[in-house]
Amino acid sequence: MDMTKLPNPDTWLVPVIGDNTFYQGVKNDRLIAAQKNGGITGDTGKVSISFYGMIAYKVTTPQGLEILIDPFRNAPDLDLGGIWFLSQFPEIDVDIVVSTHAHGDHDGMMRVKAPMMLDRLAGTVEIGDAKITGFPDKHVCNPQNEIYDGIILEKAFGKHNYPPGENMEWDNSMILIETGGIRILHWGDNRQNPPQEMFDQIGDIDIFLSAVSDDGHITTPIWGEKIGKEQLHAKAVFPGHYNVEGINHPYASGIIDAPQFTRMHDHTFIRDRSISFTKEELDQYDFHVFYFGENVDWDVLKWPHKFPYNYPNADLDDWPGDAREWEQYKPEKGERY
Amino acid sequence: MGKRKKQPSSIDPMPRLVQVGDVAYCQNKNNTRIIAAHYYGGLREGSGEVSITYYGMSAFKITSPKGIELFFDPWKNPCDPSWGGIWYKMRMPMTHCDIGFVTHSHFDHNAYEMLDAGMLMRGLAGEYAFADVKVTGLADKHIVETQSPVYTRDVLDALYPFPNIDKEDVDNTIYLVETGGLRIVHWGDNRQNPPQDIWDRLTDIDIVILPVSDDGRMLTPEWADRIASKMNAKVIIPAHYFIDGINIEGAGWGKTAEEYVKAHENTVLDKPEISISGADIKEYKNRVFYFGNNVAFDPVGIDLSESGKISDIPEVKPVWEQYGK
Repeated sequence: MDMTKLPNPDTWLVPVIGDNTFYQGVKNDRLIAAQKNGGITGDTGKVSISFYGMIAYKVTTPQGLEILIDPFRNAPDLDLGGIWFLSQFPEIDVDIVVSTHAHGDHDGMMRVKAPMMLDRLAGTVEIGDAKITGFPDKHVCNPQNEIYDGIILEKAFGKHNYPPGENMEWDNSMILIETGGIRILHWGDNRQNPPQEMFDQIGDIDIFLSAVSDDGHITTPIWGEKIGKEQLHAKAVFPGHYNVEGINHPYASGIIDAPQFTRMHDHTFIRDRSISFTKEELDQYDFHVFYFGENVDWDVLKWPHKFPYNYPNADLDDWPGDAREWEQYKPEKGERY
Repeated sequence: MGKRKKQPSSIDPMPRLVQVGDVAYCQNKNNTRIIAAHYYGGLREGSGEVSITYYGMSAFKITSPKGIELFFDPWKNPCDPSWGGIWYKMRMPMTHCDIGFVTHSHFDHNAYEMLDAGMLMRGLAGEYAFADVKVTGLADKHIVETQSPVYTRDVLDALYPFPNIDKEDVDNTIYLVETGGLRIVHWGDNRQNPPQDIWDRLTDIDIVILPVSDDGRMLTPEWADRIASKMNAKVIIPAHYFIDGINIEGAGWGKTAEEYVKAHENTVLDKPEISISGADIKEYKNRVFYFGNNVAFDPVGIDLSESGKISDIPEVKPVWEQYGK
């Protein structure tokens, strides 16, 4: 049965809740290769990082395993802050999709064609040349920025947002990827003060995929420095969870971008869609901010929100009826009577 | 009137699907159990036993000795009618677990939105370690040719005629769970002949959960025997068979696994949960443990053929009469 030919009107919409990879034709052949051969490509010696907007970062291991963390979507429930994104997350192919927590700007796994999903990971997964560890903790409940204190955040979402008694939305797993001798930590929206023993377990890291933006929607620049410099001793820092024109709705969450934080430290404004490091290259840096700005690794204009169903789309010449009916009165001689 | 031109080639092939995606934000529970297991390596002192609970179809909850609850393959009705209509009389109830696993993206295996889970894993490949549990995901492919006398390729083509899917190349992941000294395999709907590097990981298995039924909808009894003996399994637990009160007749399965059970040394269980330690089963060789109709919730009790005999509908209290006259 061809689903496009069902005797139902186009307006009969079918909600696909949860896993939708059946409809995406996802294949696990690259994973099978990684499981069998320890990698997908030859060893490049470099870890590559690219940015997909909000706090979605893709990490490509030296042997070609692609890991995407925190793709975004507009949450299906408009009560969760309404429309946040003007673009849909691109339907890209990756090998592993990871989500840190169950908020719409982090759990758009259904947009990504991935044979393997790790949602709110705790524990350790070893596949190919990557080791992925989840550190379960809690979400920010008081960002301590100029706009949001804990009370406003709680009122805006209408939910109790810190332990005890918070729901799954206000939990977060930090994701540590170890590959090619490089340790990469994706912060998600974690609170600023995880227990000291968790920092001890995480240890020193090379690349800090942070949630720092100038307005400090999740992590303020001050907290970003405290966490990244004093606790994690990060060599390279990537801002995240900031506004990108064309992706984020300007008024949805009131976020701005992160150039001021970038300029406060040693920094590089990245002009390309991705950047690669070897371990030796990273060792030269100390809390060096790499800022992608608006350079996301996809064409923003190609992924507009689609309408829930296809409106008719005929050429104007093909419109039914007689569009120039008055021409029956056309004078036989000349242009005008 | 001009001639109607062709539709643009970029038209969405499935315009009616609304991709809702994941709904974990609806969960009321939080990750406190996960954090506790992260710091303490478990949730209680080790009980020395692994418990296995059946939830119908291929859905099992495996609880480790230190209390970590793993759930495999929750099921649901297909969300669109082109999957051969309605498969189940009921929904699987919302169930708590710590880690939810999905072997493959068919609706009888992938309903992870029905899990109140601390974390979810779909298609996990590689080795996963958490608390007292180690899970190895082995990425492979789904059954294509059942070699069943009933579910031949023609029958399956008629039952599930999807234009958008290459049937030869549907994925599946086999999960090997190591906890409490036991090696437990959840087969999913994997093909009968995975390559040798996967067999090499599946040696000396204590318990294997196989989708075997008498009509061979997934694995025929013959194939189930071959697979179980190849991995030297001590215990076989059948799954993916017809259960009265859950499965709807004629939706792609007709039979239980009773004949298969009778043909083997067997233990027919009378409750949906069993606790096992390595010492309990070390003497067994390919012994079948059969849950039958015992699932961890109440299946639908309505017999549709009795539907004419329902009891009288109670009268409502005529509250409106107070406004009379």
